[in-house]
Amino acid sequence: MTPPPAALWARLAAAGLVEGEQPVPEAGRRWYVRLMLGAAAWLAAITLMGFLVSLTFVLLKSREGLLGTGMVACALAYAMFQRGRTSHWHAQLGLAASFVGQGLMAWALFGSFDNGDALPGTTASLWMALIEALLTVALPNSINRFVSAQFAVGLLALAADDQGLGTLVLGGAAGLTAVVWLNEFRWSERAEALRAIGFGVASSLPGLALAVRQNMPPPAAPGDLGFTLNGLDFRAPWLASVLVGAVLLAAVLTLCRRQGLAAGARTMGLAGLAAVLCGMLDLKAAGIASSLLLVVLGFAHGNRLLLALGLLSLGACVSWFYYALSLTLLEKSLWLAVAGGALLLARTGLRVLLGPPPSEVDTHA
Amino acid sequence: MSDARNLLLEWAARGALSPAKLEAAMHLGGVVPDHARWRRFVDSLLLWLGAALLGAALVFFLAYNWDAMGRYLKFALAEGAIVLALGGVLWRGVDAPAGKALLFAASLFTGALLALVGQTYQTGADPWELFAVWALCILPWTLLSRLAAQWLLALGLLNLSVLLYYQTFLGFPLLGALFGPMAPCWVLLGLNGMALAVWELARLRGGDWLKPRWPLQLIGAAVMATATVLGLWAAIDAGRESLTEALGWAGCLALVYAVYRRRQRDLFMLAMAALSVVVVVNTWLGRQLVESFSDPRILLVSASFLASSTLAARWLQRVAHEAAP
Repeated sequence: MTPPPAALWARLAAAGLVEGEQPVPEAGRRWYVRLMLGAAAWLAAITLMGFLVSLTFVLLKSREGLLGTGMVACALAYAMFQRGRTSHWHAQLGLAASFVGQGLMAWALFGSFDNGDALPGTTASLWMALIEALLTVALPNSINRFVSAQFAVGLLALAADDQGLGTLVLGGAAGLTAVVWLNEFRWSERAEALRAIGFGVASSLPGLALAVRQNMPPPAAPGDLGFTLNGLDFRAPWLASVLVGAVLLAAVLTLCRRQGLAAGARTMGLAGLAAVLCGMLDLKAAGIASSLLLVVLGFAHGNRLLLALGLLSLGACVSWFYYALSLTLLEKSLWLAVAGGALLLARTGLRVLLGPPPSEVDTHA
Repeated sequence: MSDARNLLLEWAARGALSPAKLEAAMHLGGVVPDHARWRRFVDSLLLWLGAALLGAALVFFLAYNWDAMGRYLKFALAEGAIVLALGGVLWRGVDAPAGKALLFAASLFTGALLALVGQTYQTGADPWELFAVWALCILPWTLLSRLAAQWLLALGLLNLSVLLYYQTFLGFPLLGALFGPMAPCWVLLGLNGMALAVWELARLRGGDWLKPRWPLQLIGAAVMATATVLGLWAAIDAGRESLTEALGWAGCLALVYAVYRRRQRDLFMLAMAALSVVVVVNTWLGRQLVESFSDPRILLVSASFLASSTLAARWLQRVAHEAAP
């Protein structure tokens, strides 16, 4: 049960962690206020972009013109965000300018022009991903960082998937998610920025896991591993599960060490084994390991939003599994029954080996 | 868990808590779980995930064999699931978390049974009737359950029933004559508004299960969404015929302000109302000023979006300051 604010402040003061009066709450930090501000900025950006698109025909004919205008808009956004640290008005203006700038640059890269000039999809995606990544780092606004991080990961995955490297982007995104969230209380200088980026990357992880698996071709022959070492084609169905499973294992072991468990402790071994089993679950039902990673990271730092995202994506993964064509419904049902039974067995085994978990009453007594 | 976390993060961002001490504060505030909480979490996760996968396995198995099954076997399975769930409720008791979860499951299985009836017997019933009958069938369990999610399920079914009704019949005769094409919005606004009012009143007198704000905020968001649709209709139509919609929207806002600003301060509800004002007013402004995207006056509309949302955020900030202990 969470203590009331005054009681929490008193507890911190008694431990010497804070001094003086408890600060007055700020409404602007609540997620629903940010949602309202973000929605209004989007609507303002749509009207602005509509005006620019319909009016400035010169720009429409030139990729360079659109790119230049987009960059100017983003530069304006940066200036507004600097003022926006203390002013909602400037932060809003900055958001609208940033969305307009990103929209114009995307149009420049993905559109084709009167002279028939159109960039290949992979090239456009890569460039736009790079722009989004730069904007994520450079523009000092949480809402903007959240949106740009999502676009950066999604576009990078799109470009990589064309070259058969989608699994590597998925593994990298899972790793980045784990690194950011496991250290969110330690990188205190850039904490707010990292949190926004962490949410952006984490929220794209489940969709990425499903999309990467969806685009994989089936193995050519029963023994075909699906990737080669000489070439750069990493379209191995199991590689995605191994990479994300490895990240999950590393995260679980890190959390165990933080709980003070020794490397050879039985609990740590069991936790590691559980993470490996979750990775194996992912082999058939794509996205399970990514979702469980979010659940574990969310619970580890009391992040209800991340925890809810993980649980929702677990449900989405099971629903996606229903429509996956790689197995018949009968095979899927058998596989799910085995997996479900194994988890319940694991729970029983844990209770036998380590005893039942202490109840809330016991721990507060 | 999450409230303490958000508080500590806010204090750290504002400099009241040193960044170097944030991690210690998170441990002290109970945000970072200890060994016991981790054990309980893993135990629960294995239980619920295992049960969910077994349940999904059953659904997949039934789907695979569905065409081959006879009518009686299908009904036996659907009804058997309800009986088993209710048996579990009797065994664990309706007050236990497992009992409430099983009662919720029985409510979901009822929908599956009704869908099976409709599919098997082809009675010619309309889709809205399925959801209305479903809500009616689970009403006794909803009354017994004392579970917010169960009540939200029943309300959700009623909402769906209304939407499908209007999709089928294009307006209830009396209300259609009075309120035109916005009749579904009016009905939904009345339904959800009444639910919100009754829940708030019950919360003042009721038990612990009524204390959390999130179900009320969910219903409040539905009320504001419906009111916003009415407001947008009035803003876009901007004629005498849409005066009722404009008054309805304004009336809804006035009520939300009176209740959630003066009586039971709820920043979430006020934020939803503020967003509604921003969207509707600026849509009206755009409708009055702008003829096409190439009209330079659209810049005024953009600026108005930004200015109004900024003002709204400042107002919410002031309200939050007043609410501080």
